[in-house]
Amino acid sequence: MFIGNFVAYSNQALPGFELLTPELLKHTRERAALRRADRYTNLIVLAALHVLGDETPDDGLALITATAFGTHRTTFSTLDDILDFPEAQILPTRFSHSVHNAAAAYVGATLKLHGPAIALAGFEQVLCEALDLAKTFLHGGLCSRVMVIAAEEKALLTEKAHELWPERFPADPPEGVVAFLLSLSAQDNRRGRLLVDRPARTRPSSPFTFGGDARLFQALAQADATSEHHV
Amino acid sequence: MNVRISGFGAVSSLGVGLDATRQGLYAPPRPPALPTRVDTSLPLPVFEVPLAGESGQPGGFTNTMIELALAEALDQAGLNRPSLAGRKVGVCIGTTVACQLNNIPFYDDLRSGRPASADLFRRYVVSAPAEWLRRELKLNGPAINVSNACASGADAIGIGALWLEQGACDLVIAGGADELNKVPLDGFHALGICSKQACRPFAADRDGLNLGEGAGIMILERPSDAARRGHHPRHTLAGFGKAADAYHITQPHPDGVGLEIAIANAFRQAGATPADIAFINAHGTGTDVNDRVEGQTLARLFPPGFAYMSTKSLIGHTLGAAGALEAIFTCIMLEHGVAVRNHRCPACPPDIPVAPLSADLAFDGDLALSTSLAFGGSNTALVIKRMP
Repeated sequence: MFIGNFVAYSNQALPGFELLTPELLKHTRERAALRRADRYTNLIVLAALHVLGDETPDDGLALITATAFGTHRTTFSTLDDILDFPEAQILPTRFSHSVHNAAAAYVGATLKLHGPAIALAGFEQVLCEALDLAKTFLHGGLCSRVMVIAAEEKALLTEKAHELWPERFPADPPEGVVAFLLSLSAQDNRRGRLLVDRPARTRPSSPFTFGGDARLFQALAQADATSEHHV
Repeated sequence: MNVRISGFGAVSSLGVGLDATRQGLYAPPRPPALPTRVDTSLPLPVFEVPLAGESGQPGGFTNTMIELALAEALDQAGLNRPSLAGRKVGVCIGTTVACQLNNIPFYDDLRSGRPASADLFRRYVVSAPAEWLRRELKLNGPAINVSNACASGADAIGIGALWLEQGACDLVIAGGADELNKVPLDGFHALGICSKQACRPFAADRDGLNLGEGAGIMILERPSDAARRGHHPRHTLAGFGKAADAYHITQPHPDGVGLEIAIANAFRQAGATPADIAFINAHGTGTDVNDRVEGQTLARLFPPGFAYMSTKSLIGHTLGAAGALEAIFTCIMLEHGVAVRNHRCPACPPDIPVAPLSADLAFDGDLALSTSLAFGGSNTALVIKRMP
C-alpha cells in the first residue's frame, strides 16, 4: 500500500505528533457542525479532515476507525445518567454518541462518504489490524482509497487504567489520534510504501500509542515517497 | 465472491443450538417477556436466551454464548478446537456491548473515588471476543472486533470472507454476539424506539423494537480448502456489500441511499440480479423509520411480489449478533426451501408498497439476501447461496 498522507495529534509532546490544542478541536467542531458530538468523535473528525487535506472525497473512499477504549467518556456519562436520573429519563443523545461507530457516522456525514465504514475495537494490535483490513479492502476492490484513523480520548477510565493494571497500561497516558490515507496507486504516494507483516507482531501494542508503534509514527512524520515502513 | 460457509452455530431466544433454532424459526412466535437478568424498572419486554448465567460485563455471558455457537459451528464443519491451534485462522466478531465497560457498580466506585475492581477491569481488557478467541484457541491469524452497531455481525462475516479471498488466512471464525445489558435497554428506551408489546416489524401499527441477545458463529473456508479435506458445505457466501448513508447519526437516509449501494455491491460480487433472489431476510426492527425506509427501498429495487420478512419478531433485536444470526436463519431457510412468514403484520402497511410474507413460502431459488441497517447509516448486504 502507498501512504497518501499521515497526520498525528497528541496532547503530549510526542515525536512525530503535532500538538492537540483546544483551538484545533474547536475549529473542527465549527467546520464539521459537531454541535452534539463527543470528544472521541471530535478527534476522529479532526484527523479525517486533516489527512484528506485538499483532496476531494469520493465514493471510492472507505473509512476504518480503530480504538481500545473508544467512547468511554460518553459511555460513562450515560452511566452517570442511569445512576443519577430516574431510569426513564436518561439523555438519548449521550447514549447514541456512546456507540463506537458514531464517530465514523460523523465523518461520513461531514465528507459525504458512501464507501464502506467500519469501526474496530480491541486491546491487542487494533491499529495494525485496521491497516491489514485496509489492505484487504483495497485488494478486494471495495474501495480505491482508505482512511485509517485510530484514537484514544482522555477519560476517567484511561486515566485509571494504570492504577488498575500497572503492568499493562502506562501512567499519564496521552490523548490523541493518528490517521493514514492509503491507496494501491503509486500516483497517490506522498509518504512512501506501507508493508504489513503480521508474523512480526508478537505482543500487544499499547492503546496509548494508538495500537501502533511510536517509532513508526515518528518515521512517518518525516517520510517522503521513497520511504518504506513496516507494521 | 465465493466463500464456503462450512458450518454455523446459533444461540438465541429460540434456544441453544440449531435443532432448537430450526424448530423455533418455523413455530408460532413466543412473546417476549420482562428481563430476568437485567435490573430495570422499565416495562420493556425482551427476548432472553434460555441459559442460566450472570448477565453483566465483562466477558462472561457473551463469551459463553460464543463458545456454544462456535462448538456447534466447528462440529458441523467437521473440525474441532485442538485442530485449529497454531493455524492461520482469522477471527472476526461483531459486538456492541462487549466493547464497552458498561458495569454500573464498577463505574459508581470509580467516579466516587472508592477502590474499583481491578479484576473486573482486567477481565474487560482480555475478554474482547475476537482477541479472546484467538488467545483461547492459540490461533495465528487476524483477530478483530467489529463495533459497527447493528450491522456488526454481518460486517464480521463479510470481512472474514474478504480475508479468505485475499489470502490473509486459511480459515475464518466469524459472526456476532451480544448480551442483554441495562445500558442499551435504557438507551434505546430514551431514544423512544422500544415497544412495550411484542415487536411488529413492517406492520402498520409497529411502535418499536424489543431487544434480544444471542450469538451466531460461522466457519468460513475457501472452496478448494473445504474440498481438500472432503467437506461439502451446504452454503456459499456469494456477495458482501457495505455502504454508508452519509446522512445522520441515528436515522437512516430517507431514500435508503446507502442500503441501495450496499445491495448493488453485494449483487455485483454475486453476479446476481434482484430477480434471482428467492427471499430477503430484512433488518426490520419494528421501528417506524427503519421499516419504512427499508420497505420502500426494497420495493423500489426488487420485482413486484418479492418475498421478504424480518425474523426479529422471533428473537428481538440482538444488536451485534443480529446480522450473524439472521445470516444463519437465511441459511436454514435456504436449506429447507421454505421462507418464514413475517409475524404480527396482518396487512400491508400504508407507507410500505409491498407487504412482507404473511405465510411461510416454499421456493425453488438458490439465492437469498440478508440486510442490516445500523446506527450511523451503516448498511450491509449479504448474498447467500444454497449449494446443490
